[in-house]
Amino acid sequence: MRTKDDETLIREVRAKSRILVALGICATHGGITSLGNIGSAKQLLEKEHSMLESTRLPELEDLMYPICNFVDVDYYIPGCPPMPFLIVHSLKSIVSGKTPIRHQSVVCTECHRKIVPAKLERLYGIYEKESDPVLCLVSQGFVCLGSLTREGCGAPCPRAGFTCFGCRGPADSLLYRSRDMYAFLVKVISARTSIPEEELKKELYRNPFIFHTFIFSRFERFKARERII
Amino acid sequence: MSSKREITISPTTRIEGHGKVTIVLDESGNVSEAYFYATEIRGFDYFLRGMEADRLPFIISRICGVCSTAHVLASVKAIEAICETEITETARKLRELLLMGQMISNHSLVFFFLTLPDFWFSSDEDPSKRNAFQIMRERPDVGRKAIALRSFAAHILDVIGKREVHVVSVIPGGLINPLKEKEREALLREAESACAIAKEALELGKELFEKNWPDFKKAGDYKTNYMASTREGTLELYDGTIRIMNPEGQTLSDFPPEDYMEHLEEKSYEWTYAKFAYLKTLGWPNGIVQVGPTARVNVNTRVPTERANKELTEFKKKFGSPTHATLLFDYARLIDLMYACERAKELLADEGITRTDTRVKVDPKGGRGIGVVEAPRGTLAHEYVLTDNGILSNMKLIIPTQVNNEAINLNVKDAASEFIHDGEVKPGLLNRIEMVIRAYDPCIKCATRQANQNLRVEIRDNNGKLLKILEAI
Repeated sequence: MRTKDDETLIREVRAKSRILVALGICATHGGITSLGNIGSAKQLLEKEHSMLESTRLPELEDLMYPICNFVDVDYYIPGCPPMPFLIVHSLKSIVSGKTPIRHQSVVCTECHRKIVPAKLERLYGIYEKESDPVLCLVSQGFVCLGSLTREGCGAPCPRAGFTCFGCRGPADSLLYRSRDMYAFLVKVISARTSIPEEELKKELYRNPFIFHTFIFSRFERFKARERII
Repeated sequence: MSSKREITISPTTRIEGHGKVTIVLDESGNVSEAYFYATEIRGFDYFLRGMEADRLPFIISRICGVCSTAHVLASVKAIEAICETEITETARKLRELLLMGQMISNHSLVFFFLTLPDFWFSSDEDPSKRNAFQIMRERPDVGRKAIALRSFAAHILDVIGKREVHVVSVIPGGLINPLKEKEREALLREAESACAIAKEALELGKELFEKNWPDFKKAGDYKTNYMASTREGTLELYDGTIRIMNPEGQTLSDFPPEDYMEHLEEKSYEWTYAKFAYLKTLGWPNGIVQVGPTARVNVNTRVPTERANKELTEFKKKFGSPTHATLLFDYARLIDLMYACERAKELLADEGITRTDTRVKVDPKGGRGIGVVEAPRGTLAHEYVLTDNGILSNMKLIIPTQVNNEAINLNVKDAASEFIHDGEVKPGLLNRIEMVIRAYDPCIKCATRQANQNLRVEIRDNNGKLLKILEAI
């Protein structure tokens, strides 16, 4: 949400609804759209600034927020997009007055791949080499975010040989203020590839995009945790 | 009524994303301008700079949930153009099949859920009933078929792309996973019933179209240039050359996709975040061009599959070529749908599609590359500039809705003039304007890479005082 219009709309929605469910990572956590926060509205428009003075368009705020910054949200279903069965299951539970089953652990628990410590020289991009169908992608040197990401999707991406990119947002254990997700990822990768932590830090800290879906604006970590499905 | 007035429709409903329309009336109360606009921006073009090339395709697919597959395909094609990668025949077939899945999924959504209610019910039907759910209540069989067609498309994307939305298996160099024989057989069976449903949809569409044609003809028919990808006059969605046709039906130019950016120019206005694309050689406003289903039937003289070709011939006989009436987009879209189903069946019937050589090695390189595919709404182009170590330094996307943007405005103006005379607004304005916009099936999200916006009709006097609000339902 980046304009006053959006804020008015979501407040109206909240006022008219008994239960409000945030669907999709952009609504729940900020997701890809919150990458827009790395530049001001003016930078996003690049050379064309005439829109900023326009009277026909709602004014752009300098930052984007997920909806929980404006209103109280009853349930969060993160994912990009959330899997159909997850939506169906949650809707059924909510309609019958129950709390949907929560998914608290990480994607690795749903992934069939075997975690083995390996000895690698460096990290690989996903199209630099073909992946082994059985071994953990991290053990093969790919930056897979399954070890941080909330489960509940059934791990379709690692199953297909593609790295998890965290579209379900962080798992419960990472929602404490003291947890540093970057440091955690460095430790996981280092343990599975035996690449020294220092080198990994250099490689990973350079690229903020790895965590694009983990960017929280003002996500209220403690309060919201019990409501993420 | 001597003052200038403005009519705003906000939000326009049953389109992808939200839009807003303002119609400006002159002093005598007739339509002087019409604007269809986008009110927010996400800034993809800006924040993706500095991204590593191997992460681009799956992040770029987040531009839009509806046509994510088309974006992924254009994106990997652009990266492959830079790295000078030749993918294998098997990978090409699988990607084409994915694109067909994308077409079927989008067109069946647009036809059954977004535009069908306009044809099905008369324009004075209670607006709260004019929706897909009411159709399902009256004719559950139509609803079931719509869902069956959508689920066939979802299965294609799920089985080959490994996710129903935002496919992950397509990477530069081909596809990660080959198609298994068992999966091919299952999909082929579904493809057969999909073809049957598409045929019925065509019949239904034609029947309703015939009934409403005298009325539809009036809904804007601004004459513009047309652009679509083609293989020497035959419809081709994945890998064609680009052909541009003038309003009289003569071919203006034929060029390979690599030259796309040399032929198109972008322009922006202060009242919308969506840019306008037009033909560079003809300039503005002569170079206004349309893409999408109508452009595809205008530019191509034949369709490679049997039934769709028959329909194309019939279409051309009925309406001539090129045809300009806006609402023909909806008819042409059904021919696309028929082709996509037949082509998917053809591809699945070919056992060679299950070969395992789906992937070749990519040598990362720097440079400039363009990827063009025919997306459901028209020609989609991605251009990237990569540095030598594979980091994105610049990107330019030309999205079908940007190309159609001006044509939408012109046709909205045309359609509005039918309904507004001397300050009197005839009933039915709201619905007609929405129908025109829906015909283009605009994807505002793609055009602005923006988060969301809104639509309602407000009538204001020239001091900006609000006179009346018409709410869309």
